[in-house]
Amino acid sequence: MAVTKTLQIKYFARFREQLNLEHELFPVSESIETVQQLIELLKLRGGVWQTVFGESQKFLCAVNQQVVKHNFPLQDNDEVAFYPPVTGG
Amino acid sequence: MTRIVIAIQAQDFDINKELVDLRAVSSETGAIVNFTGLVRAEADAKNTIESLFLEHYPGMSEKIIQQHVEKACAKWPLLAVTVLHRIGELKVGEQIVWVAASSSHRQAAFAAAEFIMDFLKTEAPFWKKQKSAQAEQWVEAREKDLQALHRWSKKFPGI
Repeated sequence: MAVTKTLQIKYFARFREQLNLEHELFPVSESIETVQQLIELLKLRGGVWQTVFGESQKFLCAVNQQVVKHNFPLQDNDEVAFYPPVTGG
Repeated sequence: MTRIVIAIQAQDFDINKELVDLRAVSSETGAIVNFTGLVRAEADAKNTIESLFLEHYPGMSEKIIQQHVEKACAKWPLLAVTVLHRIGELKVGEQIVWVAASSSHRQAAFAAAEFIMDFLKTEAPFWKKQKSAQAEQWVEAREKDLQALHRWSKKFPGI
């Protein structure tokens, strides 16, 4: 696998607990160009990753601290966060 | 130029001090509207909520609140805005959030305070976990809050 970008991925709230992971540095190949492709890759881990990122699940994604749609392009050193709908205030 | 104060912190805040501070910003202040959000006791069939745990996305939460406050400042003639949001473990009855807006006349202050709160509820990256003696459970986002948000984009397209 040719590693062309490293992503800093953060997980919050219920996802962090379900995945038992707060953050990771994830090297990915050049074929992972969008958030959607990253999600598909994460789902391949199986088990709880399928549960969290499954078809019927509601979650939000932020890249470099701005909420984005799943077709958003990813670049080297991007900070990507996945989290459930927010409940602050 | 609107004076903006945004703070995310574990420690409690004193709203009387904050109001004195807001009043001092400008002698043109004719109206101050403020909202306090509290941890409410909620009993369901199974257990009684004793506390809330507030988590946030450090870096993004401050940025998002700043963006929304700036949107409010672009929409209404505001003299000052303060947004305080606590994080960590909060017991029933404790203060969670404070939003205040000042202006010369009341319409802007009322509208801006509500606008900022509606965005805080639906877009700011905070999450609440309810804790009782028996269990812990993450709070679900509410459809009502999303509807409140849509109300603003209907009134102000593109906001």
